[in-house]
Amino acid sequence: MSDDVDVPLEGDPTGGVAASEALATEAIPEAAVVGVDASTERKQVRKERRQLLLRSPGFLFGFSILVMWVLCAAVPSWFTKWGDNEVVRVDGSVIPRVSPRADAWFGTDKIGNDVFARIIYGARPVLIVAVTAAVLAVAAGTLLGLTVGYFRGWVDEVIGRIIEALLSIPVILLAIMVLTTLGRSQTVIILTIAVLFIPVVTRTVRSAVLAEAQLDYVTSAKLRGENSLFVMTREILPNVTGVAVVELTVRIGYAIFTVATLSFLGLNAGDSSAADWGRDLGKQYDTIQAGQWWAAIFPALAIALLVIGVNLVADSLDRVNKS
Amino acid sequence: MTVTEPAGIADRGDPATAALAVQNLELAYEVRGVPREVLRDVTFQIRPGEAFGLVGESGCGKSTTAYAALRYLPDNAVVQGGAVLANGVDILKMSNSQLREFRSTQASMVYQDPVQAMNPALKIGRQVAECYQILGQSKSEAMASAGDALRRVKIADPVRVLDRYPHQLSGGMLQRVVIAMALTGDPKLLVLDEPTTGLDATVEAEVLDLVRELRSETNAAILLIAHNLGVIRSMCDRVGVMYAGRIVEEGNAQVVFDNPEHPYTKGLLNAIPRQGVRKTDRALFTIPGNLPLIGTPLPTCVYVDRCPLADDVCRTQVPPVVPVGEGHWSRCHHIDRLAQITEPDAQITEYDIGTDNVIQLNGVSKTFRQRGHDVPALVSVDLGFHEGETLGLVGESGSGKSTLAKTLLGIHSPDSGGNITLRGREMKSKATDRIAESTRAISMVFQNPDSALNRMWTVRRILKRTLTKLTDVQGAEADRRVEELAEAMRLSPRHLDMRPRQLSGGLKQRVAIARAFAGSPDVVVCDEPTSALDVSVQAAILNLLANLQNDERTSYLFITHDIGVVRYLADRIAVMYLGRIMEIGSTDVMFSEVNHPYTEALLSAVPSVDGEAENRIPLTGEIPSPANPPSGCVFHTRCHRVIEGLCEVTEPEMQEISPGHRIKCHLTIEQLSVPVEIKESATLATLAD
Repeated sequence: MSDDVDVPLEGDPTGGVAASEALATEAIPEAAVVGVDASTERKQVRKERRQLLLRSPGFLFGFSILVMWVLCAAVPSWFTKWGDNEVVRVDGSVIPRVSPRADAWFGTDKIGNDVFARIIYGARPVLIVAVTAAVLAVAAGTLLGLTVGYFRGWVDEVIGRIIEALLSIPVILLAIMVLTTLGRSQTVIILTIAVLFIPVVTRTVRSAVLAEAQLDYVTSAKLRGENSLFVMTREILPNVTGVAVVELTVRIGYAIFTVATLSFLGLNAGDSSAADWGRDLGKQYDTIQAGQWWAAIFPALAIALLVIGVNLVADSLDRVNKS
Repeated sequence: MTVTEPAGIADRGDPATAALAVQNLELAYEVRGVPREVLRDVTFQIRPGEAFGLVGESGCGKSTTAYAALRYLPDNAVVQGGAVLANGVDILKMSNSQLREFRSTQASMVYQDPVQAMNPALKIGRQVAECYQILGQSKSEAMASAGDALRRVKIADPVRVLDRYPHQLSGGMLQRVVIAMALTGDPKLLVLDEPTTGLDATVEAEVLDLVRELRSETNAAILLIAHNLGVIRSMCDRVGVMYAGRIVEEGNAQVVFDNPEHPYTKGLLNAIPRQGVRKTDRALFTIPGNLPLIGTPLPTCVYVDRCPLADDVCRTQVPPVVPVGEGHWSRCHHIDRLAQITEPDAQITEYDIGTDNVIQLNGVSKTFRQRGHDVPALVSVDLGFHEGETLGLVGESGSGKSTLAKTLLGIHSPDSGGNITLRGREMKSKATDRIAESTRAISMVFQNPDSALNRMWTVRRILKRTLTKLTDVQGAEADRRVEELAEAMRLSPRHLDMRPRQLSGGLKQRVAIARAFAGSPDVVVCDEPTSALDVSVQAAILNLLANLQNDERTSYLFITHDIGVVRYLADRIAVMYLGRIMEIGSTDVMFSEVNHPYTEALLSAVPSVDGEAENRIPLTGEIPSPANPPSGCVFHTRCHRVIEGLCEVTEPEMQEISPGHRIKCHLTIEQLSVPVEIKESATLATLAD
């Protein structure tokens, strides 16, 4: 179909509102003003967006997963009686390598830790590192994308080339190099992942900014003498925050993978006995050959579940954003 | 709903033999499970060989009707009743294979935007030939047929066109190709949905000529959708006027436009600046209010909320179909009272125009660098305008109108040599280098208010920021001024806290105009400010601009394609071609004295709703590339009055043919007064290189 004006698109949350506002009269606005005032109107739009999200099964599912993991990270003791590093003892004796059963739902690992407790406690480190790194990357990438997209010219050329160069190196390879050189404290891991993600974010935001900068409201702002900082931060930025938020959720997903991969390779923060999904997977996967799959499979499933949850939320946000 | 079979419709013959007979069609779009009515009891017939036009404001259901005629409906469309008969067969009941058969052999459609109608990755030849392959021709036969098809739509060099990609052709040429594709299989019904809306007036005229000719050649029935009433009048035998999904009046196109019998038709026609009316004569007629929201229940007269004649009868009873003449009917209770709708009183307004130039461009040129080539977009333009004056700027796309405006505004810097003065003082060429006074003095109203207003800002913020940035007014005083400003634009206070998305197109443009006036500018550049709006809204905006000018003594540089609009609003008109001003003069003399041959062709291209058919002067070929302008007079390649041996050698000087009326042409007044003869070859479309 064409972009025919007569055809209201299915699921367009704003179309109806704009049209109802069109009741406002054209030539005699004083007469027959029907409608509600602007703030309730805006609330209405937000409400419709929220409803659109809440009606999408993908969002609900993804969001529930996230809530679950965040709760695990915040108050792990609600979910398990064991500490993350506590060796499970039944009647005073250690029980390593037992398969899943009533008193150890996910079984125990080689050392005798409860795998379920390790999973619950493992949510915290991965969430802290991945979310902080993604937030930093998106914040920096947005500012950078805003700058290059707005100024273009040689600024864009130079930064564009640097970004391309960075993007051509595999993230994990670079991260391993940096972490082995600078040591693997939590701060270093966060900063490394953040820096490695900046180019991608910059590229996404840049293209959104390029489209915005073409629009006449930007010309209009320049014509009334606004400086570049104002045009970028006040005029353009609010119009690309939607893109940045979606990018944030997407980056959190990738950051979780990166964190888990690095821990798998032994590059995790904190002491090596602390609960950490990637690390546990790395330490336990050899037991699979011995038929003891649970100690490795459950951490892997935890990673997958978290990433799926994040991606489902990202997709739904993106869709609502675009409609 | 009771269905009355209107007498006027029944007269039109047996629906089974009509090329298209839409009968009591009721259609709704389902939005979130709720059906919203779009078409209400639409009934009309197109006889074989007849051209039927549908007019109305955007959102009234014209396009939906057009798509329904071929059953190209979106998934959420629900037909709630009625039938669409093509030669007696209901296409709404056809199976998918029957429908495909019907679309490939019996009916076809031409869309608004030819660029979107073509696949950008395939050559024209392959796409046109494909239409013939579907009809069973072999590849080589189809390619030969494709060449013939392009010849049929008067493309001068079909072989070369077949070998090009869509992006290498102009919009007019592409639309010809699309029409050629629509004609494969000799359809009995051709649906054209705003086929010329995106094209220049000159190209539009050519395409319309072509359609008219093809129609007499093929005897196809035509359903034409257009918002331009002039186009409908010049093309169609019959016209249906739609409002809120219902046809409110139908009849012979000329009769309906000369003697409208429905308040809506009358309102639409009165809103158009026509018959040479000027802002000094009277204000334009506007239709108060807006089209009702899609899906609003309208149990009685659909037009009741905006009708000046509406009374209790209209609010309680469905208006009957009243025959008012031969095959002409109207759905109105009060046809006898139509005379009560009067045009605004003739009130002679004297627009006080100063004598000093506010802005003066002296020898301003602008050359762009493109892939190592110089592209002169403006060539030594001298132009000045007075306080309180409107200078209309017309010309085809690519003639340099926008470049001129942007150079004036400081978005582009002119080449060295020329300068722009504001009240005698030279301005810096870049907007960012200009002093505050110059920034305040010039502002702009953009063509598309959606793009011109920041979506995330409220109207109040947009206006206040501009006000405080451009003037010394701050704080509470600024808030008060913003409210005054909004009031002057006829915006109500509640609009101030809304965002652009929540406003209709006309209201958005009012906000944009309010912003342009926030700094009490001396000059406002208006770049086609009404071309995206419906005629009724356009009228309100033009009235507003005229009033503001009268109150504030602002000068306008008014860029437009629409000759009627420029004639209404402008005091003087400048005609541009390839970056040069070819003619300039007061509006009165432009329409009464002889013109530059280019202006002559431009003016003759306008399809008029008044029906004063004139001899159209075709502009041969396409506008040449500014990168490689023709020698001598730049217009000689397309000029119908060209003098061999002179025009292609020497560039003419500006000559003053009467006080203030200057043209850039070698010909004398006597030579220009001779009527032109049009050669057959001039009607062919040629490729520009």
